[in-house]
Amino acid sequence: MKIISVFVLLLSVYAFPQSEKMKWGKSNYTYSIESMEFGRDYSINFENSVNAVAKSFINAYWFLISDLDGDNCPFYPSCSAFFVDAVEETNIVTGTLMFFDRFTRDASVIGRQNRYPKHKSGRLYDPANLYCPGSAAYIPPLIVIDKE
Amino acid sequence: MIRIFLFVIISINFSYSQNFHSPENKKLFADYLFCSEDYLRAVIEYEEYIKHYKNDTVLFKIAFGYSKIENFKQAAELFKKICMQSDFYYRARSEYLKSLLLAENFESFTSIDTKEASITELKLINIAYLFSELKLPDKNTFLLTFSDSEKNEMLKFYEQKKEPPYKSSFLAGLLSSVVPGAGKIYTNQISEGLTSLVLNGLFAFLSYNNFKNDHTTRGWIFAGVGAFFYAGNIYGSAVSANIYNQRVDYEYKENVKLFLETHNYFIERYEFCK
Repeated sequence: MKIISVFVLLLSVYAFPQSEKMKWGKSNYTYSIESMEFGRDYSINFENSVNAVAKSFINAYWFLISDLDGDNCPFYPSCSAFFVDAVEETNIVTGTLMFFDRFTRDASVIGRQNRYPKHKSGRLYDPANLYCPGSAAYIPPLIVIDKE
Repeated sequence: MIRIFLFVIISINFSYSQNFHSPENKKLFADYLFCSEDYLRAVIEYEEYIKHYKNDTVLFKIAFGYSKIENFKQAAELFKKICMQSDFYYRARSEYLKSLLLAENFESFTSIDTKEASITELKLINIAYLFSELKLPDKNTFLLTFSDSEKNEMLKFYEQKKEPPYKSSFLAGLLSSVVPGAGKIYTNQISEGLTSLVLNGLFAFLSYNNFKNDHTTRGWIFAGVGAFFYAGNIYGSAVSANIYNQRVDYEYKENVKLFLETHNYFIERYEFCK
């Protein structure tokens, strides 16, 4: 009986040994901060020529200025992405007005942390659809939005 | 070794002799889960029990459990099934109305016969007017069912429902067209209103100053950007009034819900787990 018990115990030890590779294997550790940036959509929809022109300007801004300058907008989506969404959801005139209104909100720094819900990226959630004519909506602050 | 072997065999035999899955044991387990506020699993166990025995208390607990896990539609259906002969009949009626309220099924309130309704039911029917688009009754009729301690609060809710403190989007836009940012201040967005005033003032000054000094091109650029800020602010102020009104509705509903939860929807608290 003792022999059997010892055999079973030893079997379990040898069946699952810790390999040297697991113990001393090289780990690919990185100290870089995970990027909070969401992928930019550079595609242009040519069906609507006005929107295509607006998107071309935004693409140029992203490529030449924004990507080099860094991801600094406190809002999600960023002001440029807000403009793209606003133009797509309404039209170029309303979208432009919505963009300038957003720009004013962006410049208004006092107490804004308590006025907007938070996006999971840590930024203030302020999408274009909340300001579209006829579908303006209120989202209470201090909640975390978990969608992209 | 033999002793251990025997102990194991006897333990297994003993455990097999106990039927842990008998309806009675399921009910005991469900009671334990119910009192531990694990309503989801309690409901599952009670539903197994009720397949074998009819029991109004268990049916009530299942409905109550569904209400607790926010399946209000199912809860309302089950509360409705509790018959008149049951001790839980009147409680179930009140809970049924509470479930309808929480499920936002306000249309069902219109078909309820108020002649046989208890005070609690009448209160809940009146509360439905506060949440729905149904036409509000007369103020005195509305307040009649509520106790003196509840009347003040209910009067506030009634008046806010009748005349919500909405802001006019037209007025907000108009104010912003006269003084940039004034519309935003009108809709309580004071910080944004002041920012808009500063931005518009800044661009107006830059434009004026450049024109004055014969820098026409720069003058037009600043005037153009300023005009966009000006128009954007008018649009933003009008939308801001809409958002403000939605906020008023949201906060109103939250306040009524908080009041109801504080008063347990005017329903007596149950002592199932002493």
